[in-house]
Amino acid sequence: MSGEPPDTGAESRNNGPDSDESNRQAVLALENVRYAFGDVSVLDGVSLDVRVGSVTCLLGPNGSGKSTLLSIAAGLRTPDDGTVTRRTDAPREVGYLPQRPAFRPHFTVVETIGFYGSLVPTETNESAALRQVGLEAVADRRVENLSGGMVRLLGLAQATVGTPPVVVLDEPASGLDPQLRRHIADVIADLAADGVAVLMATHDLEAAARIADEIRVLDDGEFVAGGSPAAVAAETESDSLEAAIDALIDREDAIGVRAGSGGDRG
Amino acid sequence: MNESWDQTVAVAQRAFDATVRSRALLAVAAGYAFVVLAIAWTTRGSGYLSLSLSLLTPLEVLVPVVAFAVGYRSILDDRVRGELAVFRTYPLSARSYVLGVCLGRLATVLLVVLVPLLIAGTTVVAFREESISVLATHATADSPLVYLRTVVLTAVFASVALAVAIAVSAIARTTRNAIALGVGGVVVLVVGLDLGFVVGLAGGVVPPEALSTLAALSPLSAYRGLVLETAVGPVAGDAIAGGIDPLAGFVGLLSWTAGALAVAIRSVFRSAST
Repeated sequence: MSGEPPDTGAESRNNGPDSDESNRQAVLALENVRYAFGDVSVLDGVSLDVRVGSVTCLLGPNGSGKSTLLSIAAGLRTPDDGTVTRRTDAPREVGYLPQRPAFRPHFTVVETIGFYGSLVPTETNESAALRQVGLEAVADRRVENLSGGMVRLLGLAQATVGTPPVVVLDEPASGLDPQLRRHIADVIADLAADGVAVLMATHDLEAAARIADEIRVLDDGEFVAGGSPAAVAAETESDSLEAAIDALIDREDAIGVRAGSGGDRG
Repeated sequence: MNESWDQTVAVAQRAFDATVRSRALLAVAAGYAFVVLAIAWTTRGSGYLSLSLSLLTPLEVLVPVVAFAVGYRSILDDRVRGELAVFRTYPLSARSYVLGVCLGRLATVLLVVLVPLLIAGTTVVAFREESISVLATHATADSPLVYLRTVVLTAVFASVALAVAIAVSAIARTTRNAIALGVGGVVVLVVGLDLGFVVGLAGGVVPPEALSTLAALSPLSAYRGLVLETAVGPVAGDAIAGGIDPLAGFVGLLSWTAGALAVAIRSVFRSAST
């Protein structure tokens, strides 16, 4: 199967002739990317454009290859085959939020952001970075005294340090309460509104339906669907994104980890 | 200053702050200081030469232990937390990062190692009226310079041990891995290489005339030899000379430091998933 989403003829914001999305510049492009852990193929010819000012969500069951794809997009892994192109001359090309962000526990929030800010040549306004994610009230609190959600927000602030044109987020809201999930989704939507290209993996279908300009459904290392949330739902004749994903992914796979998967393949 | 140096300084500041805020390292520092000051107290009034000789063997063991305690998790912690992967999305080179870690941790190691030594040195002054050196019996021979040279060479030895600890930290993928490599590193530094030379000598594999050169290959032998040759020897005479070519000793220590840091730089961002 091709890594491209199947052409179902469904109308889509992303693919339609009048789409804003298709006119936006692709700042990150993956073409025919393949990756394997030993003999186990994780990504099988995946292609993806991530466009300026848009949110692209990767959906799919655990072990489908989302995290691997994100780490390749962030430049942390080199694909076995295929190309990754970043069309930017920014000093920090990609911001990255790992699935489980962690920081030095004895440092305060503002010290942590200040340190990351010192790694980029541009001036970093720590207060603005923390305000953006809603952490300015705990700026002087030590990381060891933050909740899991706050650490995630600090990770999100870190991902935007140096104003990278692309931000890659690996399940930014997993394990958080609904209120914090909505807050994180709002922060991500604001980033895109500011012109950042966001590529994120998520299991939060509600957030994906709300903020994604484009979703890509990854199953067993291949894209099985893609387009706007509405287009994917229409494609499967479903009345919700959740129902669409259920229709696209084998239910047994959707609730468990794929056989042979391991690590943070996502 | 260029951008790369600014990044190195930022990493160094972070590395230093991380260690001085660690209670475990505070305990290590306290233990080390206690031993050094206890030795200084027992030898009080014996002069700088005697103090240097009394401290030499304990320092050969304690300095690598302190350096490994400070350095063995320096890079591993960033790896385990996933921060190394995040660093790779910044315009931060492996060289700037490792150098920054090294400088920051070195500041801590030198603080921990040298402050008690300098305090210990003051006991000689404080108990000067009782000062009768066994090995050098007049004040002009027992100069503070003897002790100062010992302290400087100890700082160099600490730098070598720290560089090896940082290399271990860069190679290790888990805490258990780092502890095993760290213990191995201390054993190699403290006894391993010297023991190898002794075995080689006894077995006839190492000719006796090559020993002074080979000793420079072992950081411990190089340190001990340099202290005896350049600090103690000139005062005490050939009787306790170190049996090492000072230049070879310095080159040996420098090579260990440079080699260990090169290994760390090469290993730190190497893994795909870091």
